[in-house]
Amino acid sequence: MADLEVFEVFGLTKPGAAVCHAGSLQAADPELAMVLARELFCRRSEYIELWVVPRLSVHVAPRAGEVLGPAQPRSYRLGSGYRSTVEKWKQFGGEQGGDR
Amino acid sequence: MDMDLKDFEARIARGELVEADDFMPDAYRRQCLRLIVTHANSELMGALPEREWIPRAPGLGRKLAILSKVQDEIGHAQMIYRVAEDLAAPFGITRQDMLDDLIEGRAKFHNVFSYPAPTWADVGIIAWLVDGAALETQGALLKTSYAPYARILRRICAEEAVHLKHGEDIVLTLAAGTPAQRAMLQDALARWWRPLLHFFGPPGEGTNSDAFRWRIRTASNEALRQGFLRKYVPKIQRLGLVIPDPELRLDEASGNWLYGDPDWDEFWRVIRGGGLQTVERLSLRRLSRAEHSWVVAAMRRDSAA
Repeated sequence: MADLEVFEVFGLTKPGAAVCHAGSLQAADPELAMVLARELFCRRSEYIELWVVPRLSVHVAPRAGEVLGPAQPRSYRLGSGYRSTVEKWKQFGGEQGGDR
Repeated sequence: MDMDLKDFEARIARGELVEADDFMPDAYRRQCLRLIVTHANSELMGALPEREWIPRAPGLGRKLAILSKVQDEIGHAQMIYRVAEDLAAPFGITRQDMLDDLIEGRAKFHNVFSYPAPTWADVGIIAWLVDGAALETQGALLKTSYAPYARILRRICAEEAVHLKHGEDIVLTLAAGTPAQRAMLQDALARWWRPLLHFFGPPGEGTNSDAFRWRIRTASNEALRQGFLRKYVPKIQRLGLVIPDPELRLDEASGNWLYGDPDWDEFWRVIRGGGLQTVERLSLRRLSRAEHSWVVAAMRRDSAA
């Protein structure tokens, strides 16, 4: 008997959506993994596209705080880091800050 | 080790979730595994009485609906065994071992799947109230600290909610039917009421156990049972059905339903393998495993198949 392998299943719920994790399953190869993935995760047409990936091919970075989390605040990478523009606009007249 | 346990418990106390690759104490792993395997076994065993009803369901629509329910339950079993496998790997336990334990009578499954379903009304009561009870339990488990289980439960709960509507529809149809249909429904309710109370397990079990401290479980047996009673007793009464418990009444002060002693000895007998149909259902499971071994072989690309 062939050894079964674990596959992680990802899917798209609608055109243009980001691919998200659906679950995992055991299968002999990618073709049969796809058969089982359709059976397990698409009974109600939940996904328009499915990916099956051998788990061994998925490399996971350590959890936030170790690598992914910011070592120092990184607000300058986010729009929310520039809220002070609202106040700054007020110096140039008008009640309303910003461009709204 | 003690330091690890302390760190782990601090994580749990902060409301953090545990992923499959995270450190976890063996006792946590074992408790999660027991809960999750029992759930997987129950999905598999629950499909058996319903499968028997596929050819007998009244009309093509009902046949398709119950067929798809059986397909869902087997799908749930597949997903839950998958989560269990990752948990069990460090113990050297495989899915094969879990399936063997079940048919050899070494593993537990829910009490309700040891009772017969002699009429179509039983099928309706099972889909409405047994799935309703299961949804109560599984809904509470969405908050479990073991994240892989919580993730698949979100999907499972959504599908169980459909099963419940399907059961509700069968029950409403029979309740609005002929006197014979109503009588059949009343009989089925009488058969299932006690197993339904048993479903949640005995009351008074301590919520200060490891399972609660580690947030594997978050709601006590009695809290779950009361949630079920609050939802369904008024609906059953609205249908004009008689619940076979003369002591059942609402305690206005606490908002709890008080019920007569449901004979917990029977519960323990059933859980330990002495249910009316435990042996028969397990032999049915053994038979279906043998009959479907060619599917397993094909899925394994076993050249001998």
